[in-house]
Amino acid sequence: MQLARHVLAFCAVIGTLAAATPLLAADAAKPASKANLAADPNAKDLILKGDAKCTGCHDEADEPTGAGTMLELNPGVLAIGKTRHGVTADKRTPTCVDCHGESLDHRTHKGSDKPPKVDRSFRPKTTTPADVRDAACMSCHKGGNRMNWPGSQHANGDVSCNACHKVHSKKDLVRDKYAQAEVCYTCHKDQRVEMRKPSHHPVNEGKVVCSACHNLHGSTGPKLLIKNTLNETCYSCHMEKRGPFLWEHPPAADNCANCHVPHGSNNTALLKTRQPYLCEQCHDYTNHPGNVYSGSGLPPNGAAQQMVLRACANCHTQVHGSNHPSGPRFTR
Amino acid sequence: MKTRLNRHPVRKILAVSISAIGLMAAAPNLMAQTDGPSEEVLNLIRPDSEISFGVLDVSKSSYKFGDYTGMHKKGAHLNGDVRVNMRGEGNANYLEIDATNLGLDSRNFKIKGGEQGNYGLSLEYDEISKLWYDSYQTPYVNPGSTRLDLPAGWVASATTPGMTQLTGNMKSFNIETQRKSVALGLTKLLGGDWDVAVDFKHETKQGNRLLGAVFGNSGGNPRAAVLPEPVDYVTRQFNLSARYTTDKLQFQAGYSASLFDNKKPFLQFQNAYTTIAGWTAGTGFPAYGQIGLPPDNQAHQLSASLGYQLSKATRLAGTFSYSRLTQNDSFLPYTSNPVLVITNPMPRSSLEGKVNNTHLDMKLTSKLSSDWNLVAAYRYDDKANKTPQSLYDYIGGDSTNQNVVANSDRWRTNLPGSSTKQLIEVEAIYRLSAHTKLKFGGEYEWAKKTFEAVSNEKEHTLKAEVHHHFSDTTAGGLSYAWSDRQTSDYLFAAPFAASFAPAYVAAQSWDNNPFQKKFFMAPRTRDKIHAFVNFEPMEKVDVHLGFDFKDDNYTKSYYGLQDARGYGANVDVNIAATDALTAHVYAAADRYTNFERSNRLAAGCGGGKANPTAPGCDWTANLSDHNYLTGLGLRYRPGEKYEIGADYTYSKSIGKTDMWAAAGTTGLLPLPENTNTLNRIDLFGRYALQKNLSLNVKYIYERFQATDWALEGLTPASMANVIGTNQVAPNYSVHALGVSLSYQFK
Repeated sequence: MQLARHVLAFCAVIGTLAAATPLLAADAAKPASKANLAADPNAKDLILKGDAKCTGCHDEADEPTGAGTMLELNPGVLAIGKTRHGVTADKRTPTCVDCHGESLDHRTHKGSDKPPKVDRSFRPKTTTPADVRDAACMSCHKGGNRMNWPGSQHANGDVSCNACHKVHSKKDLVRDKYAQAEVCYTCHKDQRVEMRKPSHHPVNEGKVVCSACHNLHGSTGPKLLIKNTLNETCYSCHMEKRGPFLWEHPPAADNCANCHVPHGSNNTALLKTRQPYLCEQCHDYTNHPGNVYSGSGLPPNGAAQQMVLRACANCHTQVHGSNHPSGPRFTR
Repeated sequence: MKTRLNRHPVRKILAVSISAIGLMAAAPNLMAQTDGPSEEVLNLIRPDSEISFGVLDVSKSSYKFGDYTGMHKKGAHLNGDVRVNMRGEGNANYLEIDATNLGLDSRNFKIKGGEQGNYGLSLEYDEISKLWYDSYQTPYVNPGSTRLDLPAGWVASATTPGMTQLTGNMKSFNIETQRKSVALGLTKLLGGDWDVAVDFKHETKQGNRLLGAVFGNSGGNPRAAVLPEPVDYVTRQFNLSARYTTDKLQFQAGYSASLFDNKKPFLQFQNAYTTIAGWTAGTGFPAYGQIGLPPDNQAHQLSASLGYQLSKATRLAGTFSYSRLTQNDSFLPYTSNPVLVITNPMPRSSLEGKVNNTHLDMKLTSKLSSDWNLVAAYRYDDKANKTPQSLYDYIGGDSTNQNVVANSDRWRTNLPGSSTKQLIEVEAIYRLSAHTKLKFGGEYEWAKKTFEAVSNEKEHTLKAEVHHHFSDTTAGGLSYAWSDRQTSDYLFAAPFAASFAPAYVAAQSWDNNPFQKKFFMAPRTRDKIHAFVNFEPMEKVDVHLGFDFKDDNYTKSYYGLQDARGYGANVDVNIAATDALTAHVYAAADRYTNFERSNRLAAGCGGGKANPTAPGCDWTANLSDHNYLTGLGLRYRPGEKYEIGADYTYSKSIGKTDMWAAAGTTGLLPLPENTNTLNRIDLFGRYALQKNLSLNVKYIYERFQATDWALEGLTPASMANVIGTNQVAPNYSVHALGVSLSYQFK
């Protein structure tokens, strides 16, 4: 084992330490003319096929120093063995160089100074372009729900796969119900505020995840929704509002977001605005729809039935549509 | 709340599925041992598993605190989490179990197994509790049932102050719903680049929510009570897809079905009021009314998606889907009150509702050069509502005989609206330099609608964005989008004329102010700005600053929503003081404002149908929500022996309503603010008692204070025509302490 460690001590740092230029990514396809320069030809693979050239350095014997030298070998890369990407019995499982490139300059570096960067680096401040990094993932994950990744909002925004996914981690937080939202909040700060409002979907509580509504890998609908339209997405959980109803309420059938905000609101039931004012944005007629409701309708001055408690919905309760033959005014 | 879920099928499904997955995944060779790395290396590369069990004690019952989390009951609760991750040695078999909050109403259990690269099975059980109100009260004696009765000796009255038995009979009833779902999934690689996926989900939702139950005619003489609506839904979803994936071509075809079944299609409720003027004799107490609850419905969808790599730099992707939604529940009668006279029978016994949705989208992406990327997309969504139209002579709120005269407002024709929406989108991305990227884009969206005030809409959008790296430690971005939505002529009376009887239309002309445009189809301009800066003022410190602005301006709406505007700003600081100590601080604020204008259409202010823009009847409302959020977190993990952490969260929202009305308007008084204030502290720690045994402690303190003018000061008889509920806005302080032991194994 000691011998193996010495062998592995050369290949080093693939996948973690440095960055590479986009041109170097192309170099990954070059013949590995110096690929036999691993320190010990007897080295054994630890996890992935052919990983000895890497794990010779990135093994359990060394802890990172933070000095950025040859000694910073980051054995955390071995944790890939805990993940699906470490299952070598699955013939689809990639090797180190499949994702990081042959990285010959990196592997053959001699000396105690910081080695050259790997061909394709996924470190936080890497200079490897996002599309080059994504290409490593898309070489396998290109079908199914990822079919719309190219040209999607995240892809065009240089939000690469590894911005959200931690491939070498035993726990990929973005795939954890309780942690996913925090990953998304890293960029989507507005949603973090909204999810703390009194009325919200149970995202922070871990019962609904962002990806329950959004396909972060690209979608056919607006706002990266998992379905073709917003209403179709909402009906996934709220089928009782789908109808079709005998008496349709046009804004509800048109777009749920006409009245509701999806992430959080100060108003009950995720309403954009408090009733009765929300309803009065569309309804103005004689009798109550056009009335001005102010503090005179509140105790102790009074108690306007169109204003307090459920306001308009004290009577017009079926605002998503009614299937009762006597329900054209949504009271049945 | 009583749960009515039939537990036996769920248990059987769980038992059979767990057994199946366990047998198939934990096959004999799952743990087959082979020669391999040392124990030391195995610790680094073999998946970890952990089982935790302990006690969670909650100091006070609170629905708001326990909403969704299941921590709403005072007292000690046994709780546990399980995370098992097992992989075969020398083979690709796996078994994963993930279970959380096993002792709470928010429990979740998921088991997955199979052979990676061959097949996978999964089973998930989940519960979600939505706890609406724990302060609701009602005089009805059997809340939760489908026929609500008033107490013996009930004294009916034309208005609530005369109901002498009301206040003394108010009894608490918690309003909550609970979802319980079981989901099964199967994936299988077929070879030849094909794979299939099948999943099925069965969910029940049971409990109650609130509805307004009204007697009488809308717009004239209604009387109402806010009552618990029984919820007893079953939904089933099934998805089947077959996928073909190669480097050049990806194809997917699928079928989806979703079925909704409401086991309680109506709610009957006793009338608490005496017969009042305008109602037919015999419709007051002790008569019953009946309201319809959501009808059963189904949706079936066929879809096909294609992705094709035209060249190394150019890709085409698209999806086509066709779905059919149907709803054909038997109609409830016009009225359930036998004293009322029905002259004209219903035109049909059920709706035979049918909507066909067709969707097509195509997207072309091309890397034109090393500096230029281009995306062009087209989307088509057609909703063809095939529901038949019929003429109904309805009865208002179980209170009057059918009105058969030709110019009655009770003759109504249903309006099954259809729409076709299309979108063309183009975006160009130009890498100006290694540090600067530019984006330009445009959208053109147009729509056709039926039975609406507008028949055509079109909207143009222009977008521009720049991202720049100022240095190795500083980057920023700025984006701007402008949209302009135009519509065909706003035919304000079109839906009115299409639905009401011709004689009534001729007499009334319109039923909504002709100078008001409904905001969701009104001409509108929209501006959106987003800006951010990320920088590192010093090593190991990251700072993010962000700003957002959005403004929707309804320039052509004389009445209705005039302007909807939002601002947001935020700052985040992350500090990695050492490898062991990290901290984060964030603060954010946003403000959303809606400004609307309306007209009272009242004779007293010189207005009415003859003068719908009378200045003396004008009023405006400026509604603003201000929100502030601050968070602070610390994590300290000096080694494997222990770790501790703390989070503090402060959130405050203020809802303001500023009213204005023309001079001479009587009774205009200011409204108080609605506020919600949250203070929450989370402390947690983990200490390794032994190599594989840890002690975990967590503590939560949460204080929440709310004011809501829609609830404050109301008694059951405050509203003359609506029976109140005694609800109050939530105010609580809750401590929760959890202690558990975790056992780790591989």
